[in-house]
Amino acid sequence: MESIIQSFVTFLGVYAAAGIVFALPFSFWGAPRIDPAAKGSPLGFRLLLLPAATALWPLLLIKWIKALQT
Amino acid sequence: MSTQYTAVIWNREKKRYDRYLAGLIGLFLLAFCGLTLALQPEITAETLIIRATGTTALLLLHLTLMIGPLCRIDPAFLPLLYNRRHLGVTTFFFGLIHGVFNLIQFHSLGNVNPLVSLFTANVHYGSLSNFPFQVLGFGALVILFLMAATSHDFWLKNLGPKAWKTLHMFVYLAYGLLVMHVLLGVAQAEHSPVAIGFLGMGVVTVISLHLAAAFFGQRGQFTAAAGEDFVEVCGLADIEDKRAKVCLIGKENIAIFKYDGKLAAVSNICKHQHGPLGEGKIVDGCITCPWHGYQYLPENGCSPPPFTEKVSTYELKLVGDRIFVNPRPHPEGTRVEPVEIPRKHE
Amino acid sequence: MTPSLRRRHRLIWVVSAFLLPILFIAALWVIPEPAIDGDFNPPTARPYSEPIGQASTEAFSGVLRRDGNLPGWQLEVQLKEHLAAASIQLYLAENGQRRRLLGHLQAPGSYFFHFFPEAAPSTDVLELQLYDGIKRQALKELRLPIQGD
Ligand code: HEM
Ligand code: FES
Repeated sequence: MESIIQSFVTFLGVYAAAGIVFALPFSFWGAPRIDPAAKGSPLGFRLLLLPAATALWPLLLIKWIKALQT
Repeated sequence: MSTQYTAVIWNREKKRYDRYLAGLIGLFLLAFCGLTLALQPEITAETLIIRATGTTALLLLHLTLMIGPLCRIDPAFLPLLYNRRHLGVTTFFFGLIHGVFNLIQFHSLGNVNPLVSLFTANVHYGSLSNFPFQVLGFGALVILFLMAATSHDFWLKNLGPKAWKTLHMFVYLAYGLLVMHVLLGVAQAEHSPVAIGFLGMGVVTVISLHLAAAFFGQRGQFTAAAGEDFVEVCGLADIEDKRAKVCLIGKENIAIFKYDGKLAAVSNICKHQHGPLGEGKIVDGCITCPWHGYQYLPENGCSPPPFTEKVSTYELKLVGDRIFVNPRPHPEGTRVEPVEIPRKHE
Repeated sequence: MTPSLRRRHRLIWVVSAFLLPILFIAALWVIPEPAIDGDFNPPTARPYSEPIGQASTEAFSGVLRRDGNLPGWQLEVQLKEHLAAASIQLYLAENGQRRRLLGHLQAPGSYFFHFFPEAAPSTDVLELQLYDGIKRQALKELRLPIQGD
């Protein structure tokens, strides 16, 4: 039990760390890529994207890659 | 209605909404802390913060959950819906303060990671009375976080309305988790009939409002099976001027508007967050969504420039004073000549 | 809202309308034995006149008193150290098992509780237990011999 939870929490930590690394570039370059309406938007808006970008990074990474391919 | 995103769109109504919200929270905190200090003068500051923020968050969650069905039962409540997302984000922040203080208070003393401690400090997962209720609070906090984090229109658009709505429906799960968080937590430990009584009232109110809205909230909606070309919906007199009649034909949800001696039909579903356009009014010649005010021209379902939202349009027919609609939608933004109402009917 | 979304909402709330009340009542059902009188004693309570037992540990001490003119017993508990628990409950115990809840403690300080001798599991010794109502575990114990008449 203890070790399952320990690994789960470690996984959460790694996931969140990766998310934080991903979120900044995403909010500045990725967001305008997947949604042209986000081009040239103010700093406040970009900072507001960070929490969700951190949490949902695998999904957004896929969307970003798809947007780059088109 | 966005050509470009900004962090938070604040206008006069939203500011007023937020002022009322802040006032309400301030009053509640004052009353809660005052009463607690009067009844338990020896309470510590940490405990007071934990209790005040947890209780505020749960109160706000009740309000958030009551607004939707209230609006469906009586449109007079629509102003409450207008800025519900600020209410939701505020709920999350109070829950977050509560959760973080609890983690510090109960789980940061030992040498295990506070999160591990949260799951392992109490392992009576098989018991009801001794259930590790904090884990329930944690689950709810994660849901509230995801909702608050994705509450901006950018996420609605880019995650897609379907995924977004599904995610936000988890608020109901969060609500259930929190009710049990309190019932298996404080209620087991403190035997406080007042707290249990308030929670019971809250649960009964939320459930009955949702059931009432689900079963009686369809006031006057016309429903028919699909198949025919034109379906008779209602009489001219059944629609007030600058308002709409909503009809559900097969899978098509249609709003028929009457304005300036004309009739026009568009999809009832707003492009923003699927608000019910047919419950809105014509303002300055535009259909105006009752939820957050997105606007569409009745004759072609397009938002006025520079905006780019479009909804589907439908053909109408007037026979005598009976209104008929063709439930086959035109592609979004297709112009359909409005039906002129002959003079004698006006 | 689309019709299918409305149907989903309706389904969720019909299910919740059954489930939540059942869980609610089940949770109330399993609440441990309720507190006996004296839960919210005013902190300024005066000690009764005649001590009939006392004991002390590093964490807390207790004095049991009675008063010829007043019914029942009075227990004064002095919490000496800060315990990291938001809800410290004081129980009368029997061989480590919690029997009756006397009330709650908060910060270090002096607390008074009132109860009738019938509530005590034994008349020779008063077994006290401080219990963490959040983590659901015993914190401290104290055995307080009662001097009979
Ligand atoms: C990590 C997440 C959470 C943890 C660890 C946690 C922990 C706790 C604990 C230990 C208590 C008992 C406090 C006491 O007896 O003084 C409590 C009570 C409570 N919690 Fe939470 N909680 C969490 C999240 C939440 C959230 C998100 C909400 C509401 C939105 C919430 C609402 C409440 C309420 C209403 C109470 C009862 C009032 C009180 O604090 O005494 N909790 N929680
Ligand atoms: S749903 Fe937000 S404006 Fe229509």
